[in-house]
Amino acid sequence: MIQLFHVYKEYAGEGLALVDVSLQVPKGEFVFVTGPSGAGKSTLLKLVFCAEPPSGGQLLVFGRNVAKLGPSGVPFLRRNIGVVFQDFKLLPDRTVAENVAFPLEVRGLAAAEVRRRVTAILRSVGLDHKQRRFPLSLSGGEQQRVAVARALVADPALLLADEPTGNLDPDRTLEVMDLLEDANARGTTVVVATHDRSLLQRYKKRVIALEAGRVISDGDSIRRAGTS
Amino acid sequence: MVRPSYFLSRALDALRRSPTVALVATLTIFVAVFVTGLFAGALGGAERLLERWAGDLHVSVYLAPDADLSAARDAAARIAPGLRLEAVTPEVALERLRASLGPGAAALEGVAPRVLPASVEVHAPGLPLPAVRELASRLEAVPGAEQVDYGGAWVERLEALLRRARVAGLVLLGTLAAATAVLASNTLRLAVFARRDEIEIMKLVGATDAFVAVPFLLEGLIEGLVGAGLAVLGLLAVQAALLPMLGEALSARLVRSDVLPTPVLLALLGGGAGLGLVASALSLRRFDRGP
Repeated sequence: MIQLFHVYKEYAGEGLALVDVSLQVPKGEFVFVTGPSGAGKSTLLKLVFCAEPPSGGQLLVFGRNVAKLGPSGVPFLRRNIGVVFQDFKLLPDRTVAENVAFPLEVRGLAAAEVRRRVTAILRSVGLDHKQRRFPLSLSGGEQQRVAVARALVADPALLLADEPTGNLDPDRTLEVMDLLEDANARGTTVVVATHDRSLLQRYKKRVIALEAGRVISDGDSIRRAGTS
Repeated sequence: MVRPSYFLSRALDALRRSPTVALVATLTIFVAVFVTGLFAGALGGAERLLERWAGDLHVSVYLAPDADLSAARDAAARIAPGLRLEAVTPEVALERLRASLGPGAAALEGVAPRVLPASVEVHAPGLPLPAVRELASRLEAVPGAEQVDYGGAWVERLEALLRRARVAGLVLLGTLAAATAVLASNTLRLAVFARRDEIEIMKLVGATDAFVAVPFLLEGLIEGLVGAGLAVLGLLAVQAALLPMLGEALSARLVRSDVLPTPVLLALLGGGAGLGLVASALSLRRFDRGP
């Protein structure tokens, strides 16, 4: 699903954000990427959904080399990727349903099909009764559930979540993580960037630890939690 | 495949969400098209007026004192077949002069008719100015012709003035169109900037550049069409108000009812829509759309 071979990422004037990163995430896996602020977690995710190009090395997503994808190929790659951000990235002047509908509209689905799938996904995150509400009238946890619904509504093969629970209290954190786990159980590959160690301990998943842009460990969460 | 109606509904939705930006862009295009239309109307009207005046011209062939008026008339008839000719004796010429002077005709008391030359007048109604000029040149061959006159001096001065105005007008229109495109694109750029979060999210979920751009282009097209449409209505109103006044001041026969004919109005409408489209494209090109 995701393959990195000696990947480097350098920002002009800021130095290296990723250094010689090599890893693989097979289809159907649930992976945590962890590390302190500035470790390169978000950069790694940005590279995978083609928001940034790698400065060196090879990055393959769905078997395709993103360096050779070209600007016209990026949108079609992204249609197989759902992304969740810490700050939700919801449009405040659009209703919950309108926000969730974006990925389906981009694919050119008919309005009736969009409505059907939006209702279904909002039901699965427990928000179908708030379709006509605006994001700012929802709690932080609800907003993140809307963001997860938007990321999952088009059934992506890969879900990337960048600190998805960073702004949530513990109860809302578990709600959102359960949604991600459900998606993984249905076959979606999930990569979650987080610095929340309690999540690593609670969910027994593979953990890739980064520090100063390098992979310092790659294994299961029990071992990782034990070393911390 | 995304349906065109989807893009149209998004463009209309965007106009509804940013009415101020839409209003400013529409007004910018309205002013540009209105000013262009006024200029085109004034220039076109003046040109048509000139053509009509030229069409009303008659060519006078003034004869030498000893010339044979009848022979000159026959020669003129051969040169200008089918046109109405009139042989004007010195007596008739003096009578006409008296009539045209009105109360000032007293000054002609005691003037002998022979002071004025006999002439042959060739009437050429509806003949365009170059044809009148060419006819006058041919009539110089009339036996005994001393001078051929069709009032060409002032007509040619007016024609030269219009030629210069036409060149100045084209430069002005080009400048106006470029300035409007830049002005409107800056305004529309605000709309793009205001919706940068929407664009970012669209692109995150897999929207192509075209998917993002089409609603903005439609928005510009709609603003251009509305602005130009209002300008055309304004120009028709101005035309309706001014033509009767011009008819009184000049001659109702000389002032046509369509100073701005339909093709010109359609060109203005199309030009306004094109301006809106270009302004939108410019605003998108300048905007850093990011990854």
